[in-house]
This record gives sequence, structure tokens and C-alpha cells, in this order.
Amino acid sequence: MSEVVFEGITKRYGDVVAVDHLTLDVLNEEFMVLLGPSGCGKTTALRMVAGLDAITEGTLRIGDRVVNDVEAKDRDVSMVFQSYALYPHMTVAKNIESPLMTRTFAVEGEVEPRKLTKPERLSRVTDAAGTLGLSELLARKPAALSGGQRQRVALARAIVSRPSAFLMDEPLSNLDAKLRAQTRLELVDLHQRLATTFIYVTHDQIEAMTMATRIAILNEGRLQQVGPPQAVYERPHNLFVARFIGSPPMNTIPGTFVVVDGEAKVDLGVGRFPVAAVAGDHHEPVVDGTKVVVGVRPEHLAIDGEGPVEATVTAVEWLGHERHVICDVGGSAVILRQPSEGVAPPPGQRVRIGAVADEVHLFDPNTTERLN
Amino acid sequence: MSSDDPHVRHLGSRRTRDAVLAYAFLLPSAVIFVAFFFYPLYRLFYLGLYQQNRFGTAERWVGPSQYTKVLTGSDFLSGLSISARYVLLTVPLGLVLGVMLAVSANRRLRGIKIFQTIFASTVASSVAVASVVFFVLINPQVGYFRNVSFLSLSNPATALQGVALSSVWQNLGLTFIITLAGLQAVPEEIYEAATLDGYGPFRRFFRVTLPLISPTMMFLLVVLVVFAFQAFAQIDILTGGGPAGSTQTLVWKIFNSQQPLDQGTGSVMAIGLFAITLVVTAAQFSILNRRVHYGN
Amino acid sequence: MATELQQATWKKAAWYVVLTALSVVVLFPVYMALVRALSTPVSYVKAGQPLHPVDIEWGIFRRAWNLGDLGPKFGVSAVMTGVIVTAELTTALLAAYAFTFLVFPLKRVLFALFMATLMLPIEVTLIPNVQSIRDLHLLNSYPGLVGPFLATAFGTFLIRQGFMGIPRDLRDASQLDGFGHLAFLRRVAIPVTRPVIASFAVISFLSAWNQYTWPRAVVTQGRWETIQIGLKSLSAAKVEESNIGLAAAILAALPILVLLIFLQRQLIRGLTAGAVKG
Repeated sequence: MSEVVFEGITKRYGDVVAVDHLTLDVLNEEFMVLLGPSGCGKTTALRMVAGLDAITEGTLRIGDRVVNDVEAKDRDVSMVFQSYALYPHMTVAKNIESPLMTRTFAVEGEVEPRKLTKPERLSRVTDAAGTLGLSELLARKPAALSGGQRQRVALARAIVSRPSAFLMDEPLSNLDAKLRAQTRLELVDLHQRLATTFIYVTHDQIEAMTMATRIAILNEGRLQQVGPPQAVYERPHNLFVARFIGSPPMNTIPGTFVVVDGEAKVDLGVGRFPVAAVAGDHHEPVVDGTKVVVGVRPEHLAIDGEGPVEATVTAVEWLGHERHVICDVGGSAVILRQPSEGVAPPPGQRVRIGAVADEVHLFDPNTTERLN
Repeated sequence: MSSDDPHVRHLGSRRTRDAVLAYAFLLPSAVIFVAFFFYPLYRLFYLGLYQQNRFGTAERWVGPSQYTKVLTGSDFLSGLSISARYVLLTVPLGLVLGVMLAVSANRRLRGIKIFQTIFASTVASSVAVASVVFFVLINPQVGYFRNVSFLSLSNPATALQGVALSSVWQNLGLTFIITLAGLQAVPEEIYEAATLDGYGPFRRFFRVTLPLISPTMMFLLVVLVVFAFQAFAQIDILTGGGPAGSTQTLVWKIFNSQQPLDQGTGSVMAIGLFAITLVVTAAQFSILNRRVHYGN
Repeated sequence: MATELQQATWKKAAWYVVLTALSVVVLFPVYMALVRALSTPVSYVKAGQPLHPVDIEWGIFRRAWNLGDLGPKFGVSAVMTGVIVTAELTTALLAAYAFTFLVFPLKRVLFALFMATLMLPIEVTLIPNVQSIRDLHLLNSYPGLVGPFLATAFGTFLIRQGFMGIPRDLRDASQLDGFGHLAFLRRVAIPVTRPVIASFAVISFLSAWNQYTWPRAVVTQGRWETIQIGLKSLSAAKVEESNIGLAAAILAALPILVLLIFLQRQLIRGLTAGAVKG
């Protein structure tokens, strides 16, 4: 039941900077997803919150406490590991009970936190097991459980200590696709029931998009953007975010920003797309003649006899519910999405493409920042 | 704030606490190692420089010349040559027999586990037990093999061979167990591939199996050579060093140099033994490393 | 033309013959020892030393036990072995824990020094060590018998390997669970690496029970003889009593034989550690 605040958090291993001045406010009770490719620093950041890795620079707050020097067990957080980290020699019941054995807890009606008595521990274990549907499995050992069951034991172990924040390190990556989809829903449900802060690390943008209240995207140790899934999807702040979120990824084509007859457009060499907004959040309006990188999502392009841009179809992929038409636009490969009905344009055919003006994003080729 | 909460411990002091704990954990072992390994090593060098009187009440400085005198002297050299001979008698034969046992028992047959237990069984006998058991076979008066001339314990030329046989037998269990483990670590597919390539059983063994278990065999080689250099109990029980001193290995001589009068020379011999074991082990390891690099 | 099945059966039979022949060779010395332990020596020699027992004395084992005073000897061996195994396990577990999970200055140097003791067998350091024992008036005593064997580089190495195999996630989880070092050692590290620890315990037992050279050097009174060095005096008896020494030897090997039969897996794992990868 706490917020977690990163202030300039940095982690260095010798010369290598794993996390670079991360400043992020995880609000109380939100489901924050740290998203990024391998090596981007998301797991390191999570481990610093847990207290498993020391913080090189910066301040970390949980609730109203500065916890930089506080030991992991005293931070009032729980963690679910990618491999679940269940004790192989203990039963499910003992595994769930383990956070309660040596730690002290604040007990209702008592001033001083203390260790829990056996009945208190058992009652919490029963509750946690019940919440996760493990009541029948309490006497088994992890080796006798399926992957999905083990994951639920890991979750039960996390909730039994009733922490201020739940930390999760790619907990779904060891599950098969079907189980993953099901578990995503269960996790969202769990989050709502527990009404506690969740910090969730993943490289899978689908998990991020479906579960997060807000997503924080990291790359090479630096925070790229933070915001609700829709915002991140619709207005990526830079090329990295633009390309990382969305499947199939956003198309990026080099071009030049021009103003023609008072209208803002971007010239791709083989035609010009209209551009709606011209002023970015932090920049002055874009200047005529500036070289830019254009970003348009596949669903915002359409093959249109009157479209302004020329393209040649190179391949068509049929996915059942839709088609992906891959075209060559002035040397760049571009994907567009089409419904499955009708005849697909054959490879080699020249077509014309149009784009929705509002959905044409401009990025600076050097800084990769958003321009509009 | 965190600094006020008495239940909270600070990460900074964890390093120091861990280090103190580590030293505490290492202390018991360290005390024993210093007392029985490092200090005695130092003492050996020290003792080697002096000559004590019969009662150990006085000592006379002799200096490094005692080292050269002893290490080039007939006593040490004869002990060394007998020990070396013992190595040559026990190790090659032991390895070959062990491999034979392991190869035979490494197959899927009904009841193979029984054979495996039998082959491993000599591991149960200590050197003392093996010596007593072999005495039954090679003792010159009533030994079953007393008429086998090359094992005779009463003939100075062959006594060492008789003793060696007891070691070869005793090592069978260990050699078998380790070689079998090495064989079993070779994936079945490699044998299948070799068979598909048309390799017959002998070719398979020499071209495929042997190279693949060579790290294990090298390890075994080191172990057996070190064992052979340490031979003492079997000499003590079977021959008492005789006949005519023909079975006085280096360790035998060292053991019998415990009196103050002999401690000086005995210590030098011990250092000699130490140096030889080091050199031999190091040589074997460097060959092992080269093999492994080429092999893999 | 032999069918494939017939060829396979011939091959199998041939291997059984080979295996049986090899078994005979391996067991022959033990068999003969048993035969001659059970036989009355004089009658046996008179009968021309056949391959079967002659004039069997079934009570030879009891007689050897009494005549050879084996009770106290087994006692000394048992206590010595018990102390050594316990001490080795304790010191090795603690040292291995420090080397695996703790960070401290000089860690690498200390580990190298620990492993260096593997190069110093008791035979090399015999003279000064016996002198130390003598100077401390610990000849013919348990401290004297067990001293050099209370710590073990081999055990430290083996258990450290086991500890290093514990997944890092498990350590992290127990950190969050609030387990300090001792709690982690007791509740997680030891239970999880139990097979390795058991293997080492078996090897430690084997090695301690079979010790000869060191006890031979520090024991001068009959009362303090271990069973192994007791065998020397028992086997030196006259021919007429040679069966006593043999019976004693067989009895001395029994505990390890029991170990081999019941704890074969651990024994093998302990012996092959370091020899084979994985």
C-alpha cells in the first residue's frame, strides 16, 4: 500500500552503467510495468527496489521511507522470480510460510512489530493458498507440480506477507502461450483484489499493454517514456518506443518535412504524406526542409488509388484474420495491414498508399526524439 | 526515517559483518591446516638443516649441505627407486585391468548390477585388510601362490612384486568405479554414430571410447601414482621392509626416521618425496590440460 | 546361417562368461581368505591346500574377536571415525559456505591455501606431526589420533561445488524471506545439497576407518590400537593361528562392505567427484 519513488537511481558495475539516473514515480496501488529488451536495466532496477542489489547513486523511497540502506527483509516488499525460486525440499505449505518464519510484522492492535505465532502463520498460509487455488496441493513438493501450479505457489508466497509492494520479474516467461494468456487475466484480477502496488518487469509488450496501468519503457539503462498503455502506443516519445511497442512494429521511413501551399507534409521521395500536428511537446514547430524519420503504424496505412505515395508490393502474408502487405516505399520496407476479404495485390504490383494525417509521427533522425 | 527504526539494519555494515562471519567459519579449518600442514612443512625444512642427538635434547647445525648429502645419498635414492618401481608395477597394470572390468560391465545385461557390485567390492578393503588377505596367497610358507616365483616374498628380487599385487587388487574397485563413471558419461549416440560409420568393436574402443574417457583416465593416473608413492601399510604388514631392504619405499624410510637421531635426514627425504609428488602431479596435469584442449 | 537373434544370444552368453571369469579373479583372494579363515590351519595345510574349507571352525570369528581383543579395537576405530566424520563435515560445511556465499578480503588467497593442503599428505608431514603429538603428550589418545583429520580440503571443495550449484534466485528469495546466513545454511543450503554432503560423509567414513600410517605412528599401547593396525600384530602369528588374523581382517572390512551395499550410490558419487564432469 505504498508508492515507490526512484530519484536519479543509478547502478554501476565498474565502467558499465546498468541503470542511468532513473527517475520514476510508481503511484500507490498502480500496476507499473517496466518494459524493455534484455539488458535494458529493468531487472536491475527491480532488484534495487527489492534490496538485492545495492544502489550506486540516487534515492529510493518506499512509502515515506528512504530505503537505500534498508535490508531486503525490512523493506516490506515481496518478489516473484522468473524461475519461481521455490525451495525444492519444502512442501508447498512450507514454501508459502517461509516469509513469515523469521521476519517481524506489524500486528493489528499492537504497537511493536513482532514475529508471528504458529496459528497466525498457518491462517495466513491457508488464506493465501485459498486465494490462488492451492488448497489441495499444500502437502506436495515443487517437483510434483506443473509449471502453472509452481507459479501460483510463488505468488502465494508473495502475498502471504501482505507487503506494501509486489515485485515481479518476468513471471510468465516460463509458461506456454495459452497458460500465459490465462494467467495475465488472473494477475490483473489479483491486482484489483489486493489493491496494492505492483511493479512488473517484462520484455513482452503484449503483457505490458494488457496488464499495466502505466508502462515505463527502458533502453540501455535509461527511461524512454512512461505513461498509460494507450498514450505510449499513440504518442511514442522517441523512435525506440515507437518501434518497440506495437506488433507488427511501426514503420519508419526517412523523409523531409516540407510545407507545400501552406500545408504541412513529409516528402518521402516517392510522394508526400500529410502531417497533422507540427509542434512537439518540448520543441518549436518543425522547420521546412528538416530531415525527419517518419513513423506510421501498419494499421494507419491503406492502399488507396488516390493515395499520395507510390509503392511496390513485395510480399503478402496472410494471417487468417487479416493480411500484411509488405511494400517497398522508395527503398524502405513498409508493412500495412488489410482485412482478409477481397483480392490481395500481387507482389510486383505498383500501388498507391495513403495515411491518416493524425497518425503520421515525425522523429528527429539524430536525437530520435519526437518532433510533433 | 530509516535511521530511527531499530528493526532496520543498514546495508553498509553488512560487508563487515559478512567478513567477520567468514573468518569465523574458516577459523576451525585454518587452525587445523596451520597446525598439521603448514607448520609441519616449515618444520621439515628447519629439521632438515640440523642433526639432533639420540634423545632430541641437543641439535647441531648442519646446514643446506645435509639436503644435498641426503638427496644424493644411497638411502634416499634406493628408497626413491623402490618407490618408483612400485609405481611402475602397480599403476599400468591397475589401469588396464580396471578398464577391462569397466568396459565389460558397461552393458545392458540382466544382472549386470551384481557384476558391477562385485567389481567395485575391493573398495571395501583397506590397505591393511588387503595385505592380510594377500598374505594368505603369497606368504612363503603356506601361501597358495608360494611357488609362483615372480611373487615370492622371500626373494629380494621379487618381494616388491608380491606386495604390488596386493595393491593392484585393492585398487581394482576404485579404478573400476571411476572408469565406469567415465564410460557412462559418454553419450550413447556417439557409439551409435561410430557403429553406423562402420567401426568394429576394437576400432570403436581405441578410436572413440578411449579418447573420450582420457580426462577420467588421466585423473585416475594421478590418483594411482600418488597412492603408489604413499605405499606404507602393505610393506609394514607383508614384508616389514625386507627381505634385505628390498621393499623399503620412501615412506617406509621416512616412517622409520622418527627418532631424533634420524629426524634430520628423514625430513630431507620427506621434502624429497613432497617435491617428487608435486612434480609428477604437475607434469600429469599439464599433459591433461593439453589433452583436454585438443580433445574438445 | 545364424539368425540375428541367435548371434545376439551367443554374444550375450559370451559376455556372461567373460564377466563371470573376471568376477572369479576379483573375488578369488577374498574367497581364499574366507576358506582359510574358516578352516583349521593345520588340517588345511595337511589336506594340500584345497579350494574348499577343511575342518571348518564356525566359531572362528567369535574366537578371533576375543583372542585378538577386537572389541576395544573396534571401539577405538569407531570413536575415531565418528569424531573425524563429524569434524570434517562441520569444518567443510562452514568453510564451503564462506567461500561460496560470503564476500571478504583475501578470499582467493585463502582458498588457494586451503586447496594447497591437498598436496601435503600425512606421509610427508609425518615426522614433525608425530613430534608435535609427542611433545603435547597426546600419543595414545583420541586427540592424537584424529588431529590431522579434523579439517578437509577435499570436503571443502566438494561441498563448495554443491553450494555453487544452488540457483541464485533461491538465495535472493531467502534474503527477502529474512533468512540470515545461519538460517539459510540450515534451512536451504544443506537440505538442497544433501546428496553431495552424503557422498562426502561416506568417503570421509571410508577414509577414516581405513587409516593406517598415522595411527601406526601415534599409537604405542595395545589399548589404543585401531582395528587396522591391530591387524598387523594379528597377522604375524604362527601358521597354526593364521586363521585368527584372517577372521579379524574380514571383520574389519565388514563395516565398509555394509556401506558399499547400502550406500553404493553415495559412495560412488563421492569417489567419482572430480573425475567425471556432471
